[in-house]
Amino acid sequence: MKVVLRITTHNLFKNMRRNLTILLNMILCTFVIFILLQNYHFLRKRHSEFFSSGKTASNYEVAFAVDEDVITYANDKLNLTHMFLVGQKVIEDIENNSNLFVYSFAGNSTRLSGIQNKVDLSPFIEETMVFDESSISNPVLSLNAFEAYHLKISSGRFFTEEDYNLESGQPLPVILGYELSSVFQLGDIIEYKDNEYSDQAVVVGFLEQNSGYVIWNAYYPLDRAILSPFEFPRMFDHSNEYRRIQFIYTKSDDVDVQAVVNNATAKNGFYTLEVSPVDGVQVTETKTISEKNVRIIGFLAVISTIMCLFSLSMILYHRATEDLPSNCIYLCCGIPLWKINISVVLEMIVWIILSLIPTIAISFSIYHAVLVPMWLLIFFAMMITGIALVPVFMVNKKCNLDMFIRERIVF
Amino acid sequence: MPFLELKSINKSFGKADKSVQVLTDLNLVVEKGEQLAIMGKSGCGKTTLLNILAGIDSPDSGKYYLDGKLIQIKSASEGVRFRRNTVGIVLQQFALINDFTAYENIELGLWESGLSKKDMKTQVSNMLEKLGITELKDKYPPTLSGGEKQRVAIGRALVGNPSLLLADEPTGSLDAGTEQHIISLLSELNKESGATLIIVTHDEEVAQKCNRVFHLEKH
Repeated sequence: MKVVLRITTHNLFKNMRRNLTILLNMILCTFVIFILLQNYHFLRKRHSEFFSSGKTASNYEVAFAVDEDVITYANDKLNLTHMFLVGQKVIEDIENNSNLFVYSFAGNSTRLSGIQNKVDLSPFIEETMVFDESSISNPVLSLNAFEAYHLKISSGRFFTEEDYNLESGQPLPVILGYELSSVFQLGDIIEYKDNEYSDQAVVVGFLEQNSGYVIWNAYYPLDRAILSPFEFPRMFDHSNEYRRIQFIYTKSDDVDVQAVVNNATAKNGFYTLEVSPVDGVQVTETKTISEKNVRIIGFLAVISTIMCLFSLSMILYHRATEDLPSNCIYLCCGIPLWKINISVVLEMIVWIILSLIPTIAISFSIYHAVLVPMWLLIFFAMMITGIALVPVFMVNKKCNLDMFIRERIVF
Repeated sequence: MPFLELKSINKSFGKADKSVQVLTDLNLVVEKGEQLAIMGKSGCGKTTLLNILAGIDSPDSGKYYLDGKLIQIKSASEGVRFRRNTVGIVLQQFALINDFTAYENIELGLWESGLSKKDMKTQVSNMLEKLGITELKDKYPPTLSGGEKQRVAIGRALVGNPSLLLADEPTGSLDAGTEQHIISLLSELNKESGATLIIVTHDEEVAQKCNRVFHLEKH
């Protein structure tokens, strides 16, 4: 093993210029494989697996529903697929558009029987929102929803970023509807306990009187509601939640939200997301540019992989030819050919590992994860390298000491 | 029992109808520690004989005994195993790895010895001293003269203490002055190590320095 390692080390450092060419070639090769695998996954998945039709939502002013399946519910860690990760990038791109912002809303309710405070909340049961007679409305809103719904605070404060990144054990901040100010005060702790859950909320603000919102063409008052960043009581750990979109809000009528979404999906190779305005006016036809891009990029990646393979095998072949005299010397010194070949394989494994770094770094910087399974990436990189090594082994087999001694293999 | 014995060695090259017989019924006996020069005209089979002795090639028929053992090389890997720690080879073109320093080139002869790094260092340093090239240990072959390169090559061949040292035209690429020096050095080191030295040469002066000269005839 020592001998193999010494030859490997020697190969790795002896001709930096040539080795750099090999490394660059392999970086390119790995990157192309990465694109190829990513696109293969895209093409395998069907639109319907991620998006259900007919799910539209609205906003009081201008609102659009983007699919809910992938984005609202994909925060389940089990669904952390490559497509989900690309979806996260799409959302990030949409969020970064200065002309619009995204927010989410979920109707929820809190059972009165669970609230341990000595107050009578029965007058505040809101019939339009409750799911049963013994609950109080508990809409869960993202930070931007306040602006989208034009909600105003009569006392206290709005939610902040920190309220959405609570540490375990911290009480849940809540903003109460105006009418609830008769039983609670700012800073009050609302205790919740039932057979399943136990939680605490702290009152941080009160809405103005007659606050409410319009969604799906219906008005929902919030005067008797408990607004919170997460459901109250909290039923699961929200610390690892992923970015999600439920609604897109724009202040200006001039913004073509569908175009913004199309750009984001096309740029990331994501499937088309259809947005629907609240007033029922049909938006411009959604484009399927994403899928076309995926196919074109996939085709180009196949061509590039073949070119990379050819180029890599040529470089390795020339190197093996140049190294033939050295290998003959090794054989003269009693070092068997298999050790020479294994050292070449080991060397290539080092190059593979190094060549993976830029691809992984790019994937992390864009998607915050490796989009393609690592084992698959390594497997394909090794397969390509293995094919490229075949000519090397054939050249090494020509290490004929008789020819070498007769000076037919020269330095 | 002689150290090396060849009995009725035959070797030909090429296919049946166009084959060229290079060695015919060759018999040779070499004693331990002997210095033998093999001479002959071009194409008489000198290098072929050397290759058979080194386990690089196998005879078509006949027997090769070394240190009492019958040597039968059936594959290249068997040849490699046979050479390891048994045979040292010195070639006309020096056969040094240009990316290795003189020290590393000599050390190469010990890679398969199983010695520790420390022991290797001791042996290589001793060899550099014997060869009088200690000050050249960090130099790379392209910066060395022909004589210096050949000393390094001799060092690599001898550092593993082989029982048989084969040299194919070891002075063929050297000038007259250096040639004398190298042959003397080879002879001295060989005596010191007790190895058997077989030199293939066409140079009479080189041959005269050996204990015995074996003439090969062209068939």
